[in-house]
Amino acid sequence: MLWIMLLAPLVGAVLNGLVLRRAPKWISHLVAVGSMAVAFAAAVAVYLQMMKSGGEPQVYFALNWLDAGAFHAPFQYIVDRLSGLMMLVVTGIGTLIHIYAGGYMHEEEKTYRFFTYLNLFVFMMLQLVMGDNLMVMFVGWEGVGLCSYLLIGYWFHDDNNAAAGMKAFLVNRIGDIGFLFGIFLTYKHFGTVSFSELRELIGAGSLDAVKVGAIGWITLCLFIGATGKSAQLPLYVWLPDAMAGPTPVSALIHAATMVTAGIYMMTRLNFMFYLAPMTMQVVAVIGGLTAFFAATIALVQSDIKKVLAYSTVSQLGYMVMACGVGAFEAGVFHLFTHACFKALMFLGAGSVIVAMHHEQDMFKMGGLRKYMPITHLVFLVGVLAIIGMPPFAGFFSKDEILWKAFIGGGPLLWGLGAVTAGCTSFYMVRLLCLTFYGAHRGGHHDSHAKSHDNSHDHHAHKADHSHGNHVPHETGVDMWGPLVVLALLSASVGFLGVPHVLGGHNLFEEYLKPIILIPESAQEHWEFLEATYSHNLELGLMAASVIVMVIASGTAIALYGRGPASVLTKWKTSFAGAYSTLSNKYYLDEFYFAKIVQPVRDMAEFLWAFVDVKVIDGAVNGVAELCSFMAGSISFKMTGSVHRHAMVLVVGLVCLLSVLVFN
Amino acid sequence: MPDFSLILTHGTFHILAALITIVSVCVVASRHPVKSAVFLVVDLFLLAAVYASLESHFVAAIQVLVYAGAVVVLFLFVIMLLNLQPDQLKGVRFSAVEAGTLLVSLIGFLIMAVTGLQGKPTGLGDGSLDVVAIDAAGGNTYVVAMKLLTDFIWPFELASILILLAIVASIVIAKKEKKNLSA
Amino acid sequence: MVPVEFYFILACVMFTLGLFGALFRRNIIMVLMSIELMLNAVNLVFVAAGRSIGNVDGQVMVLFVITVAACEAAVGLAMVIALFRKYGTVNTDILRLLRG
Repeated sequence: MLWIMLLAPLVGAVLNGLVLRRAPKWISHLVAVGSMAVAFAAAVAVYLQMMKSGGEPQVYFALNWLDAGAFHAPFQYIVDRLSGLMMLVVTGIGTLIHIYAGGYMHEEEKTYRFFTYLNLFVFMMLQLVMGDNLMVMFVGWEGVGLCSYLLIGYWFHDDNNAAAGMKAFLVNRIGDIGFLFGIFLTYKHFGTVSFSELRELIGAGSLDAVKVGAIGWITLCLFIGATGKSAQLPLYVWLPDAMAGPTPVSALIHAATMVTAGIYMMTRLNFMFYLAPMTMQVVAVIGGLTAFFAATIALVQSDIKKVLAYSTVSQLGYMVMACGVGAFEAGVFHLFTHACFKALMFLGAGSVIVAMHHEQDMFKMGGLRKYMPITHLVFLVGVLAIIGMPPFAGFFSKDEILWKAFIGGGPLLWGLGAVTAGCTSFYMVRLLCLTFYGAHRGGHHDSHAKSHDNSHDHHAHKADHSHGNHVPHETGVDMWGPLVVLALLSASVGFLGVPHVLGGHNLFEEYLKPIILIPESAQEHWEFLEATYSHNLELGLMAASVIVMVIASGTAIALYGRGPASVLTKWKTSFAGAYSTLSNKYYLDEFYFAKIVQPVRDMAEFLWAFVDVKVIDGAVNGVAELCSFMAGSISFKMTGSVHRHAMVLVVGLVCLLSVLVFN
Repeated sequence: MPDFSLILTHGTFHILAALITIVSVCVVASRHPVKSAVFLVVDLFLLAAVYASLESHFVAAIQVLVYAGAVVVLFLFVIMLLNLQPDQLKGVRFSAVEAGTLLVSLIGFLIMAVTGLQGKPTGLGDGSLDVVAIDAAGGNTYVVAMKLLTDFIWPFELASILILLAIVASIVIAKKEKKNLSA
Repeated sequence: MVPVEFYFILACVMFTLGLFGALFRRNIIMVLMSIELMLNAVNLVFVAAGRSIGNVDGQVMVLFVITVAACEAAVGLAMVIALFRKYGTVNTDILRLLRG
């Protein structure tokens, strides 16, 4: 059963990529969705089977891969509560997005490539979350990076898209170096890379100081990998650029699944991270800063997808911060809820973009509530979820994180998170207002506007310019159908994690408890002594965050409710410095380019012009010249005289014979 | 009483050796090709005499018949055909370095022949051939023929093929090129 | 019998003289004749050695050498005729196609 789930996406990818190249589009779509549906059904079956046996981890062995001396890394998969959850998320939300993608890509002529990559991505992601050892996880890690590159640069004829794909891949790679070092160190100090074995070794008892020190380095290296994959400071720069890819890609990869790999990895190895308080501090601080940073940038973005991208980075920061303060369950809970509502919002944005003929500038939208009622409704649900309006999902998960941050990381960290939450509310409501409310500002439809989504020159839309003022209309059911499902999820899954203080049982935390293993030596450091903190404090903090959300949302509605308020233009000039810093993303990309990319380029140029051309080519050519010279200098000796030949022969013969005789 | 037979054999040999050397020098050093050919004939006769003194009668006869009688005649034919004149330049022309090198090689040969073999077991017998036994067996020719046609039958046949090839080859090589008779 | 080394020395002398002739004569016919001289020296070695070993193998070998020498002389002279036809002379200077 497990194999069906694992292999169905791969089969879909192979079929689409190799066999069905000339098939009509609906067949490619059907194969892709079909393989995903099969995978999801199998996932549900495996999950139920696991839960029936009490949620105990089950290990499945596939085949032997690496076997060198003492190093074993077979293709082995573990189905337990955490990976079961992840596989349901990946296959479930993946299926919905696959269904949606068919409608989104209907303008494309050939879609088999797209669905191949998409299915391949799911296959790789499953490797990542189901693997029982670091090597299989790394295979998935790299694989999703590859698919991300392929999909971001899907319309590669436009150089910007190709460059964005490259950027994603290379920045990820930098993180991967850290990950690899983590794997090496793990093997060196513990002799194994299997999760089950590591859990036994480390979680069991006390380790000597050397090993504990090593764990500190291991976790740091692994976290560097997470920084790259999960878009934290300083390696988040690829995520906003990744919006160059088709919107379903953004939804699947950069919202729901791939970027959560870092958080998954840390949760998987929670027993290690508990033994490394220094790393955890780093993790928490980076998570908090990332959340704040990204949220501030999102405040002034005008491209709808960019806002969502920075929002994703910010929410990932929340999840990482949760892991950093030891609240892995809260982080995973937020992962789960975020997957639902962020995918929802991305897909919704995709519907909007398609309806607006690939216009992505929010300031050219507006008033779409009239034209796209269903999309508006589901998008509203998503926004309410993310800003933390009770009783939607985001409220419970975000507040859980904030509470744990307060008691685990101190009020400063909580304050950072709270301010970020305020910013989140502001920019999400701003997005909602600019897109759906007010007057429709999209007068003429200029599909040649700066849009990163559209890069192919030949598309059927050229015919559409015949009717000038085009009125946007609702998308087909194949696109809003999945959105409705996701909206329902966003509204309801929050109830899985109702905290005790509000009368619930926090099912989610209980569910993941067996995964968490705090080694004895670290227990007193990490136990959240909830008893010492009063319930009132928790309720008070919760109320505070709700108030912040209300204030921020109200401000946004006031400023944008009927289109951008005129006061904004005044503020833009008075706060010009702050505005330009934010809208230029704190100039981080420019900084990287000047300090890192340019020197590498210069060195490459030097190596080419000097080393390659002069030294290496010179050496090779020099050898040829030498041969030619030597030939020239000797050739005059070839007189062609037979006599001379004979004489040399005789002399040689004499020498030979004398050697033989006098030996 | 000195051993006359010994003196005779040794003396014969030494006289023959001296003559052979002188004649060989003449062969090599003559300017006129015809003179060289004639000296070569004399040389071959002298060698036949040496073979005879070594009880190798058959070989001696063959030497005279084939070598002196056919090969050298062939040489003379060609010389006449080509109407060769005496070499205009000096017969031998060499530079000092070349001559020196060759002299060294000559000396080398001699040294090798003499010192290399002296005192080493050469596997050669004392040279006493059982003449009586050979006569009893039918004479030198008979013994040689028997050896040739039993132990060495393969080389014998191949040699005849070789002669055939040589005939064909020399005819082909020396043919006049056919002139085009197109009108 | 005369000690066999004497025959060898004689053969060496003949051989060397033939060698000199083959290397330094400017006339191709003379070169061929010098080669014949060298072959005769070899024959002498064979006969003498065969005699001193005690059987007639040496003489049989000589027969073969004579045969081969005859063939070689025939073919060589044919080549000389062909060369003469082409170049008009039998000086060894004409043999320089390997120059360079």
